[in-house]
Amino acid sequence: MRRELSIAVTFLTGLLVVTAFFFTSKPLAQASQTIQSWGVIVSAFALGMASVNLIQVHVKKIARSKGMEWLYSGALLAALAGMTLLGISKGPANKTYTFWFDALFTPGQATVYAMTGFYIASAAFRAFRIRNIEAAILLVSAAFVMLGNVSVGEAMWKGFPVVGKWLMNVPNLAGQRGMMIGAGIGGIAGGLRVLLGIEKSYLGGSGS
Amino acid sequence: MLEKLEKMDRRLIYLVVFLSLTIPLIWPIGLPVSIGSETRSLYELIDGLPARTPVIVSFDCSPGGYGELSSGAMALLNHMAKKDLRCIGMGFFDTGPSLLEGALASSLYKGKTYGTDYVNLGYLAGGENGISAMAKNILGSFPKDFRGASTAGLPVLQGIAGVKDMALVVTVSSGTPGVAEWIRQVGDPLKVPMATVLVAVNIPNMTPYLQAKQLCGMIPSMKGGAGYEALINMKALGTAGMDAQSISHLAILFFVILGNVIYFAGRNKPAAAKGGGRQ
Amino acid sequence: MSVSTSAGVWIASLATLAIMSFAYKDNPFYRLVENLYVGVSAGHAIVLGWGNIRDLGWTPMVQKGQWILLIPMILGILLYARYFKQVFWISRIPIAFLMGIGTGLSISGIIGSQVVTQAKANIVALNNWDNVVIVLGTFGVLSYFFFLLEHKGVGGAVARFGRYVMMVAFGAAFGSTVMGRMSLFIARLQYLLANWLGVIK
Repeated sequence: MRRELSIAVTFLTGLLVVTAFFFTSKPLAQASQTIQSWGVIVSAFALGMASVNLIQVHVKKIARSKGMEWLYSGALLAALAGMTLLGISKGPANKTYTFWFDALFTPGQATVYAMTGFYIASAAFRAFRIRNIEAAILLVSAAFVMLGNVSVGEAMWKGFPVVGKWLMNVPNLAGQRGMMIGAGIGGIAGGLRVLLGIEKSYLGGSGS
Repeated sequence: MLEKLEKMDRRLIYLVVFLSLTIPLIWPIGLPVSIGSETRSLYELIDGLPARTPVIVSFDCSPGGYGELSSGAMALLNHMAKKDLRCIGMGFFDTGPSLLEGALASSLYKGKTYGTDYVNLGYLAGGENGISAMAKNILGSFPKDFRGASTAGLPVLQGIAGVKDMALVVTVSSGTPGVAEWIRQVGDPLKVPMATVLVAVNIPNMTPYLQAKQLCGMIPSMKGGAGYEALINMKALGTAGMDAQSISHLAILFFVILGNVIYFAGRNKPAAAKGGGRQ
Repeated sequence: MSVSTSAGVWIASLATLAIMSFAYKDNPFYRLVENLYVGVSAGHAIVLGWGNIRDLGWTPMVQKGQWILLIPMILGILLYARYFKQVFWISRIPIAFLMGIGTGLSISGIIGSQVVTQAKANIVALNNWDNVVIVLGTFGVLSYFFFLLEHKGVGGAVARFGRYVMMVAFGAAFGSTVMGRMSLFIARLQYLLANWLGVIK
C-alpha cells in the first residue's frame, strides 16, 4: 500500500504536467504551474540532504580517527557550519561570505577540474591505441578536431580547420543527431515506465 | 629504450603538459585567433538589438567549469553593456548567481545602475522544473533578488510579463540543467531565441541544435571567448590563453603518437625474439 | 612582476597550489584544502536552498496567508524521513512527487525538441554530399541501435556505417574534451601568473 501510494503520486503529477503541456486549458495550466512551483520548494529542501550525509560520514570519521585524521573531517565540518551560519544570517551576497566563496570554493573546485588536463594526457599516452579501424577513425577525427581548433594547426596546414569543421558539422552532426533521437525515444519509453509504475527503482529497495 | 618510455613516470607527462601550458603564457607566440561562424552569429544578433532590450543571462555553471567559460561570459556581458541592453541575470546551479555577481562586478556593467540596467535574480532550485516554473512566471519565481532586495517595481524588469518578452536567452552552461533543458522548456515551446556560452566537452552535442536553428549562436569554451573578444575589440584572458592552448594540443598529440609507436614496436618484438626469423 | 597584496588572492592561490600538489603525490595540504572546499560547497548549497524555502515558501505562507504552501513545505521536510528507519517509507512520497514532475517535463520536452524537431531538421535536400552523409549517417546510427533485426546484409552495412559515423563523433568529443581540459588549466595558471604573481597581464 505504501509503495502504491508513491507510484500514484508519481502518476498523477506526471500526468498533470504532460496533459498541461499538450492541451490548452486554463485550469490545467494553472494546476500544473502550482505543482511545479511546489516542486521548486521541495527541491530546495533536497539541497540539504548531501550535507546531512556529509555530516554523518565525517562525525563517524572523527569518532573513529587515529592520529591527525580528525583534522580533515573537522575542517570540513567547520567550513560547512561557518558558511551556513554566515550565509543564513547575512545572505550569500555578503562581503565576508563572497570572500570565502572566492578564496576557497572557486579555486578548490576549479583546480580539481583543471587537474583532469594532466590525467587526460596520461590516459591518452597509456590507453589510446589503434587496435582496429574504429580506433583509427576515432584518433584521426580527434587529431583533426584538436588541430583545427587551435591557431598552430592552421599555421601548420590551412586544411586542418577546414577538415576539422567539416568533421564537426557533417559526420559528427549525423552521429550526435542519431544518438539524440535514439536517446530521446529511450527517454520517452523510460519516462512512461516510471509514470505507469513499471519502473520503481527510484523509490529505493527492490526495483521493478 | 621503448620499454623505459612505456613505463615512464606519469609525473613526467604532467610536467611536459604543465610546461606546454605555462611557457606560452609567459612568453606568448602571438598566433592569430580565428572566429567561428556560430560566435559571429551571436555577436551579430546582440549587436543588432536596440538599447534597453532585455536579455536573460543564466549562469548554469559551477566554478569547476567556469574557468573555460569566463572569457566568453565576460566578453558577452561587456558587449551587452556597450549596447545598453538590460541584463536579467539568474542561475539554475546553486553556484551560478555567485559567479554571475563576480562577473558583473568585473564587466562594464559595474559602471551602470543595479536594478535599472542589470539585476541578479539569484538561484532557483529544481533544475529543469525550475526553468519551466520561471518561464511561466518570472516575478513569482524571484520575489527577491540575489542581494535580498524585493524585485517588485524594479525598473530593469519594467514591461516584462514573462520570458516571451525577452529578445534572447543566453545560458552560460557547464552541465545539467543546461542547453537541452532550456531549449525543451523555453526555446522551442515559447519560441524565444536561445544561445549559449558552453564548455568544450559539450560542443559536439550542440551541432544538431545549431543546424536545426534551435540555437542561434554559441561561444564555445575559451577559444570562442577569444573570438568574441576580437569581435568587440576588448582582448583579454581568452586571447592570452590561445597560444598555450595550441602548444598543449601538440603535446597531447605527441603523447598519443608516442604511445602508439611504442605499442606497434612492442607488437613486432615477440616474433623477432622467438628467433627463426629471416637473416 | 608585482605580487598581489590581497589576502583573498593569496588564500586562493595557495589553495590552487595545494590541489595541484596532488599531481606529485597525496599530501596533508591537498587533503586539508580539499576538505575545506567541500565543506564550503555543502554550506553554500544549504544557504541557497534556505533562500528559496524562505522566499517561495515561508514568507508567502506567513506574511501573505498562503497557507496552501504548507503542503510543499511538509513534503520537503518529509524528505528527511529517510534518515529514520521506522518512517523511511514516508520519504518516498516527496521523491515520487519530484519524479512525477521531472518525468512529465522531460517526456513533453523530449517529444518536441529532441525527436520531432531533430527528425524534421534531418529532412534535407540530397543535392550535395554533405547532406547525403548527414541523412545516411543519422539512419546508420539509429539502425545500429535497432536490435529487433539482425545486422546482416544491407541492414548490417548501414549499421556498420553508423558505427563508423559514431566513431567520428566520439573522436570529435575527445578532441573537444582535450580543448576543454587544457582551457581549465590555462584559466588556473592565468590566475596564478596574473592575479597573484603579476608576471603576465
